[in-house]
Amino acid sequence: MNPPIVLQFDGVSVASPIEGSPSVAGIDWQVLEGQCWVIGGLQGSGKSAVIEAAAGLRALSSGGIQLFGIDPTQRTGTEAQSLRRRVGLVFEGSGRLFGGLSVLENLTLPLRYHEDLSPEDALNQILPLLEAFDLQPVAGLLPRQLGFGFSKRVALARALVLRPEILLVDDPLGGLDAAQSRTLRRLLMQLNQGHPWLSQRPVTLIITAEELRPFLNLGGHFALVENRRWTSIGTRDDLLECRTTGVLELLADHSEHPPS
Amino acid sequence: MAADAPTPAGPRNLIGGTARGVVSATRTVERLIAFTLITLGTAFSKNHLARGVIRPLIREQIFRAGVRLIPMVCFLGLALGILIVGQTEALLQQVGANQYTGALLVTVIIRELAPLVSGLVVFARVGTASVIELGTARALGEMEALEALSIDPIHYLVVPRVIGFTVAVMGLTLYCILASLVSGYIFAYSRGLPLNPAAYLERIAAALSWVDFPLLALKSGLFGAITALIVTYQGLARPLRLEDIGDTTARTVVYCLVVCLIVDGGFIPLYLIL
Repeated sequence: MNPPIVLQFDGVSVASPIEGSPSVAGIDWQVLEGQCWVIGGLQGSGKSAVIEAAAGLRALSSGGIQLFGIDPTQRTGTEAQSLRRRVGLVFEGSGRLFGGLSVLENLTLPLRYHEDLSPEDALNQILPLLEAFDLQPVAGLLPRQLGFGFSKRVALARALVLRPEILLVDDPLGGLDAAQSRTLRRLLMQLNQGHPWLSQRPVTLIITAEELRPFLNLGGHFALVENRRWTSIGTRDDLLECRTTGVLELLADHSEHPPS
Repeated sequence: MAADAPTPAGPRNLIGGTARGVVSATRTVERLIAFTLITLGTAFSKNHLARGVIRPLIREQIFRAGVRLIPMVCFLGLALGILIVGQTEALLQQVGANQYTGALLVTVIIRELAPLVSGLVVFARVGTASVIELGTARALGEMEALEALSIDPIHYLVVPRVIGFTVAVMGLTLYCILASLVSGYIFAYSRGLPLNPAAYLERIAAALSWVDFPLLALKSGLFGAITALIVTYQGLARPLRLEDIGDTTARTVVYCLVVCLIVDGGFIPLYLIL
């Protein structure tokens, strides 16, 4: 028996912030529970728009999305809120951490807001996450005092605080050196295979990337966003057999990220 | 060639420009009203949620927009007292109309200047800083980050400011009134005017009616709420680029002044009727 569908795009066109043509059009896509998808695309291709649409942050110009079999646009109030809590999103770059809050406050905020916990109780709850991501040394720092690699890790940890079932990660390796890249890929792999923070439950992982080679051993499924069009490629073998210019460009060996 | 030449300013351009300005102002007012209704809806419907997060934020806003501004408002109140109470008391003394002192103080300071000055101080010191703060957060994508964590940005960022600014302006208005009455009396006394403290307070009390208290609370509270709503609307309601923040702040100053003065004018018929 197949695992259930957790995310489904039906003929989706994602609205562009600039009026006119959509960011990405023609998306028909199904993600099953526990899968790991890597969406490849060059800078500005619109791959971020796709995962922001999946997170409910971007309007659609046509088509519909189903999350866990539910149309999020048909849910309001607390139902919509609890549906959204099942999806975590890590933004690209430094992860859009809240600049006025320390790392610890960034991490405890979702718990304190949704579960109305005191700062001490929230801290006790996220201690295992701080340890797993090796963030104790920077817990008291403000985001502007962090290095880029640490910012990415804090952003990933923040997206996991509410224990989501789907994790959307926008360009996780962009700007990282080889060692930081390896650490982050290892964390992502652990999350997809079952991490202690998530009680060993494998999280459904959707990653965007400008280079596909570093994810060959992580991603089970691959898709491409090229010229504002969506193409589902398939498994790693399908990707390696694919000879289109777009795929070859994304698979080019830049040697910074050897396959893990 | 002709297309590049500057368009001459004529009556048609003037009418067109005015019409565009009116349409733009009407749209802004419509959006501001919608934003206000959404904020009120959020404040009531989510009143029971995340109290451990929202209440400290409200306290922080009260401290920032209220407690920290007490010295400045008291200073302005002292200056107002000297300017208005001192001068008018001396003038009324000259024309033998001392019995109107209380009415004059109540009308000028308690009903009009104290709430307006307190509102403007909060706007100038904290409101403009909040536009920059929220505009920067918006430009850096922090609103989307809140939404991604299923945190309502209106509940987390707007509601604490509206409540905090409202309470702050109400409190500061009282300090402003007290400071101006005290300094006015001291100034009048120092000029040798035959006025004892009891008579001074008696005249003020006689000029006050019951309606002054709720209307003073309403007016000062409204100034605070309006300031917070305009500030948060300008900072949050639409996507901003970092380079837009300066212009947005300047525009907010104009909106706040205009709206507060219109609301102030709206209270005059109320005082006349009641």
